[in-house]
Amino acid sequence: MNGHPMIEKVLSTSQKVSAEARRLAQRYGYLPYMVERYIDMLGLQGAERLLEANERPLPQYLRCNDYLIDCELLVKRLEEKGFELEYTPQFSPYAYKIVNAPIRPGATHEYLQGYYYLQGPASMAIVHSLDPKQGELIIDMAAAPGGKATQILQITRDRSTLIAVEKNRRRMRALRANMQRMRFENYILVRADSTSLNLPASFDRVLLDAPSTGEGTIRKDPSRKTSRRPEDLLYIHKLQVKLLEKAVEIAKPGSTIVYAACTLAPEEGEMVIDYILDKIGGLEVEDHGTIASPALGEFFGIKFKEEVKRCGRFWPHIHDSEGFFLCRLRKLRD
Amino acid sequence: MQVKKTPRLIPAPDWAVRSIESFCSALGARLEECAPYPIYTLEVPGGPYVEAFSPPPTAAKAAHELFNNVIYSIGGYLGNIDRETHHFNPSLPLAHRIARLCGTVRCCILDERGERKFLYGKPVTGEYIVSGPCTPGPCVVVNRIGEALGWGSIRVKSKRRCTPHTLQPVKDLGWYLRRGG
Repeated sequence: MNGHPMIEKVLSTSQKVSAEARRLAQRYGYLPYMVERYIDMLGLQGAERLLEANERPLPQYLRCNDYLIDCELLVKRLEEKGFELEYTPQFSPYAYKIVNAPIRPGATHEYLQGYYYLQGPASMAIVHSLDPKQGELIIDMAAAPGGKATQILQITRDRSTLIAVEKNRRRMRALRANMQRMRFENYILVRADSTSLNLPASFDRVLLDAPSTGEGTIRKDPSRKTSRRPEDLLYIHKLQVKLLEKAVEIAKPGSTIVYAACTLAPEEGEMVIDYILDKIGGLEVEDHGTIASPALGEFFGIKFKEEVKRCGRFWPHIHDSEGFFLCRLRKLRD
Repeated sequence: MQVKKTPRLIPAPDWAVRSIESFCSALGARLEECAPYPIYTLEVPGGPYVEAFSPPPTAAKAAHELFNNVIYSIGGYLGNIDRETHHFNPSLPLAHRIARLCGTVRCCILDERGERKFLYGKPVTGEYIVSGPCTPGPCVVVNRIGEALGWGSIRVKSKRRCTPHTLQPVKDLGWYLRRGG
């Protein structure tokens, strides 16, 4: 498998942990190498703000399915049940933060009717970056459990054709249930490993929300503070590169590819894009069109191509969201 | 060597179409109202049942052209059919489609308490039924504002008087919580 030529160097450098990083790691319960990296990315103060933000559990957000219900009516119905919602259009015109929930938000009558989907706010923003249009052929290469897949069909009013690919059988069942619950019809579910898809360059838009170390989900799952080693990063980086190569291969010339990963690790974000731009010609980084901050320009002294900065990052301490990397690419030619 | 059994999407065989048509007709609906597009079945060779779909033509075309019909699922799910008995088990997406026809098809309307019982997969007795068919058989179940809740089967106590009757659950939206997610 391929990968960024500097990745091993970066991984070994990040393991030379400073006293400051060690102190913060101990205080917040992280593996020290992770904190060393945060300090390199954000400076000491920024790293502390990030670690502090990660201590606050991520509030639940819902995406109103305006394909089925007027969002004002949905809000009214949920408020009558005692829910307190806050409209958060900075992420998506359909996004609401659940400030207070008297019952489990995944067990209401409205949820069963498909009137909303529980989804992280940054995850919603990523589909707006893809900007799907009616009549297009679109592929979601790692689709389960279906948040982004159902959002694509919602935005296109079920008038694009969506291919949703998932490898895992159990996750595929959840994907199918969500597609049906949200009442979309213009989709095909394919159980396959996306790296081995044998398809022509036929897609108008490709979404790759790549499998990741999940470092962006620490607010939901604090066990991620200690569960990933540097060697996991190396493995996942190579897998992400392979998947993105496939995404480029099956995209039509002129089409849009959105690469995303629920992580803060540059090995899963900037380094994947930096490598792909080098390896595959005819790609251009486009403005991602969301509120995400610019991506990093360098990491542990490794400078990335200037255009990598046009990719975006959602930070827990800046956007009060999960951590996410996203990049919108245009395939100029085969 | 063991050959992997792969599901294939094929135009529905006559027996499958007849099974769906007969179910729709028992409800008082026409086949085109249940399945607005051509019907396909997804078959695992040797499997005990087939799944039936009426996908939009663009999805059916993409399944054929890109995947040679080897897929996991597709939109427009109608339900599954037992290969041996040809019994059709309707899907929840079909309940939503048919619920729009309440007034002309067999439809059972529940009050709020009945709705709650039904969504827990429990039988609903007459006092919670706002209105419903007078004869036994399948029906689509909706709440007072016409939102589909699933499929049920009406039991009638007296053939002379329409009420009270019992609604036995067949498939309800609570399935998404119990099994689907």
